Amino acid sequence: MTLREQREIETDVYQPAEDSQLLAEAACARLPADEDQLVLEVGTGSGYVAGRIAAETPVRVIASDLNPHAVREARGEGVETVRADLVAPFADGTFDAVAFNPPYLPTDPENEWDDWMEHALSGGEDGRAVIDPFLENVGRVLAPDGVVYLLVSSLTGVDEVVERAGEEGFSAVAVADESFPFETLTVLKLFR
Amino acid sequence: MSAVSRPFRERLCPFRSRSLLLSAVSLFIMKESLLEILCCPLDKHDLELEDAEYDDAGEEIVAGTLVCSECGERYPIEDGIPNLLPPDMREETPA
Repeated sequence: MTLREQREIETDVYQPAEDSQLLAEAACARLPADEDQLVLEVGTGSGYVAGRIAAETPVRVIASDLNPHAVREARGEGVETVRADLVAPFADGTFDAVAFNPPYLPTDPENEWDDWMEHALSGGEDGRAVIDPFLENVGRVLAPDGVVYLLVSSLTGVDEVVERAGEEGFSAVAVADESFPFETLTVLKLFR
Repeated sequence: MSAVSRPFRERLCPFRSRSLLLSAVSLFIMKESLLEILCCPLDKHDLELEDAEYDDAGEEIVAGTLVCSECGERYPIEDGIPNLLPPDMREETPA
């Protein structure tokens, strides 16, 4: 069974699933009720997490994605969107919080498929092909007290992600988790 | 109605038709204040707005081009969404 079949994928845009919901709830519960706060969701897909943050908190939320279909779908949710490679086009020290539900499924290179849904799901051989460059670069766009809410699966290795975040100067604490038959999902809060 | 202040409509039904959403033309505008938090993805310098087209109220950007003040690279704004991918990643098909 391919990843696509496991996730019952039929569109070009990753649709909200348990991971999206866990990240949205964890972020909404912890973001300060302050309309001056600026929050970025990286890899927004359908716009579900950014849309919930916009609906449930007073912060201003910006959503980005690599996928042109995703940014249009998220824009349709009324969320301000930018087509971007991770945090590359955002100014230094801008965001009070960055949320990311990354592509994290470990994938055999021979089984990868070349379309948008692969980009949304596959984290390369170790599941961290997108998480690692994100951790390298996210510090630049965070405000001095800025935090990251990162969804990680047990399939990807929470300890490995925490260690990698530590190398980039972040401390990590798990703020939410939920178990499923094949994986446990954890939301890490990263801070400096 | 401002696109951005519009509530996250019908949140209880996240799987509704996308074609219906895309018909909501008023959503495809970009707030000018978004410019302040964007930079050139290549060298992180400021972007300048050129050839801007505004909505009927003259407040929101419908189309235009963002130009890097340092390297001169140009980034299009289409349907209210700036495309800030580096030129080599800009195609509509996956890499």
